[in-house]
Amino acid sequence: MAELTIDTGSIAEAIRRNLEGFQPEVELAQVGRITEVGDGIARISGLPGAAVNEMLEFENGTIGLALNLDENSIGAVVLGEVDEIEEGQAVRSTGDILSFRWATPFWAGW
Amino acid sequence: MAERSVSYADAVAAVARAEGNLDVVSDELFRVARALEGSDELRMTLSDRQVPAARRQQIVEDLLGGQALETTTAVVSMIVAAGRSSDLVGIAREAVEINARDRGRSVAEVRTAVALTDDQATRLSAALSAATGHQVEIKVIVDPSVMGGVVATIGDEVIDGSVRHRLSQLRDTF
Repeated sequence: MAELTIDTGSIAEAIRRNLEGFQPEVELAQVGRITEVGDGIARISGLPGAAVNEMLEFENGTIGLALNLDENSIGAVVLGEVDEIEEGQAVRSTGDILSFRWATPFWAGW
Repeated sequence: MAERSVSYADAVAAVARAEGNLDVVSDELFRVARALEGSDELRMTLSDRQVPAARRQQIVEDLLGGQALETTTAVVSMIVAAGRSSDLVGIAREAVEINARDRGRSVAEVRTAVALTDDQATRLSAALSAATGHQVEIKVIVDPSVMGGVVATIGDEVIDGSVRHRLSQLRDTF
């Protein structure tokens, strides 16, 4: 097999061909940034509208729980794998307060 | 290097070894990484989560399909679909290291202003092997900012014989 060559012309062509007609959906969201992370706790700035017990979504999809609402930052517990959470990553507020849903009432079968 | 890149590279190396083509796959990954480093547009498109994964994978397929091994195309496509394209450069670098280690060699990442001829690459490899005391395999990256000469990085060691470095030293003298 010939040696792999990727030139700028073929890159531009591949991108143009595959993004033709693509319309990204635009949505407005409040996004904060992680300023510090350690011991399963992430400190986040830039989410002034977050509420206590609101679920936050980290860049990799992990959910966090907003607990300490300070004036300039939020302390959130990472409810998942903390190794992939890093300083500088974006965090979105979901608007949802932590809640649980039972498929069947917990008293069923009593 | 990020632990995640090392884990991905280990997995890629395991698959390529099983297919008996780690040598080619690691070299092709290295070339993909160079393309990503050289094109902001490609890097941004492949890491844009707003672009559906299928479109991003098709870009990979268009660029590599028919040119690269199926293993390489599948691996790059999987990494891009997983939203890890920003780790591709690190994964490629680690895969190259693993391949060299398998053969008892070290890898020198060599940056030069212009592409080296086969003869120059062989002589440079021999010179670096003699300087470090172990077999060195070179991976050449053409980087015009070097201006002239070479910058060789072997693990944590950097041998900077570039014109850019000499000019910088000259500037510091005055």
